[in-house]
Amino acid sequence: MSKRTTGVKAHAPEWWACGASVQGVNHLRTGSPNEDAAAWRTARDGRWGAACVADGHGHALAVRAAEGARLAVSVAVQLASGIGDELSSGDVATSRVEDELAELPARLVAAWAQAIERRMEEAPLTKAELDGLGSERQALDRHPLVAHGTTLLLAIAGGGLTLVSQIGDGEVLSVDEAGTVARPVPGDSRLVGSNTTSLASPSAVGEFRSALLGADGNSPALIVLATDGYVNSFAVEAGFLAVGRDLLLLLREAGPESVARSLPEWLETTSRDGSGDDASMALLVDRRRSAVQGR
Amino acid sequence: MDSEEGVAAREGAIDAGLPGGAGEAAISPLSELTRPGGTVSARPLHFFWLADCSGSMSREGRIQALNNAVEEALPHMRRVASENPNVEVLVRVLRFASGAEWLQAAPTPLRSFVWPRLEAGGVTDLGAALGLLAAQLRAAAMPQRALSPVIVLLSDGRPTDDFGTGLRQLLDEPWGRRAVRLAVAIGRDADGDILRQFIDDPKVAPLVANSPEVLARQIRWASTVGLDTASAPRVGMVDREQGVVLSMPSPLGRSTQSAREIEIW
Repeated sequence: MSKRTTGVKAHAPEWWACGASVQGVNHLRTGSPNEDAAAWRTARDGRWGAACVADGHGHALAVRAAEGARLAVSVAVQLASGIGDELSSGDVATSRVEDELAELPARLVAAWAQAIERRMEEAPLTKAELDGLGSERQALDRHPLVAHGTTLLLAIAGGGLTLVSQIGDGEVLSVDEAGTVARPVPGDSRLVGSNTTSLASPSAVGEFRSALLGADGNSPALIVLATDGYVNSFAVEAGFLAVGRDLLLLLREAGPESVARSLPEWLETTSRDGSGDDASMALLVDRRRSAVQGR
Repeated sequence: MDSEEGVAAREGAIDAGLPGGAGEAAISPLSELTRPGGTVSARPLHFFWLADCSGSMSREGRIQALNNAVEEALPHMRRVASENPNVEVLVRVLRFASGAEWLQAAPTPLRSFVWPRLEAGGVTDLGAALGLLAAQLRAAAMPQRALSPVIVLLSDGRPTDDFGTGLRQLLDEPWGRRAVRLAVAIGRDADGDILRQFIDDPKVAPLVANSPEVLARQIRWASTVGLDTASAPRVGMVDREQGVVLSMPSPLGRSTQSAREIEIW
């Protein structure tokens, strides 16, 4: 088994994270809640960091989509903490990290489903929620998790490696020190016209798309995770890809605090002038590689 | 706890997350920061009219009635579109008779769209029309961020060419499968079975129009409800093993056919 030095001392990455989630004007117009969520967590000393976003399904059956998204990001950062600790613990075999990545979907799906189960014991679906479903209710009997259906995009970084895993729509960008932007996660040609894969899907574990970054020594300086309400607001693909480079520059020039404070307004105006959908973003920044000043 | 965390999921905006203490960062005023990324715009919604211009459409003023009905529907479509400023409706027209051709090949914004008055003559090559449409719905030709397209088929007969191949080409395209597909049967000779195959959704029946008045109403209904349905994106859940687990719930299932209409065609 190959062992690698994670480079904690050599690279001394210092992970910092932030995020925001805003309600889209379409949801304001129809009285729907914000069904997105974002969460992040970093080690106090920056040895590891994790960030995630989720987009609860805009489907009549997903009556608890907002809760499903919140629970998804909650369980994701909890799981990420343990993985982040391991990644940044010193020496770790690359094959062990690859195993972690391979096991991550099953752990996420199980933890999310358990959280939903607990929640449903506390607060079962109400008569009003069920009555509103009409004949579609039968589909919920077959797939009860759909009531909380959501996507999930997660990045965990530590020890020079970054694990990225995603189910459903939305985008992950990785940005290197030079500002070069890449999409690390393989695409899915089925995701057109609001079709998505889902944590609530019967084969959710197999639907995750994942990537391991940094094994070649080129760890990203910045990871951007965004829900489709943000991504779909850009007129052309290049306009969204430019977000990665622009954010790196903004982090350098204005500082992370300013970026974190501006994030909600950026999401809000981008969605308002674009898709109108709920929009969420989480950033995971290696302050050393991105040469970001301040805290 | 040896970590710092944040969470955001608020309504009516605004939740910026900052981990831990504020530190000593220099904070720039909000107004000084430029929003990241390129130009943003409303999401495109491609709307396709597929119009039967076969010789039988010249009987009893059907083609004139169709021209009038679509022209009358346009203001209603614009009203629906105006209710959702985050959607840009782009219209195209495909006619089929002996062969098929685009009359409005370029996606034209609904606000400036003018219906091309159609003339009838020839046979009913619907299969050719579906093949042409499928080519425009290939992934390379459609922006990823587009909303589900709307396709409204208007026909008074049965196909004279290879309809099955054209339909397969259309439904083999993810955007074709995902499209909101509606059909209006003009007159009693229209082949309802063919139109049902085109719709491919047991909950949605073809609309029937046996007079100019009903045709106007059905076209208005199909175009506005089709637009409204596609404008409010409803997630469809796809699954590797089970295909489509949840399809888009359709408000299109209800019939608009009144039981007592005067039948002219």
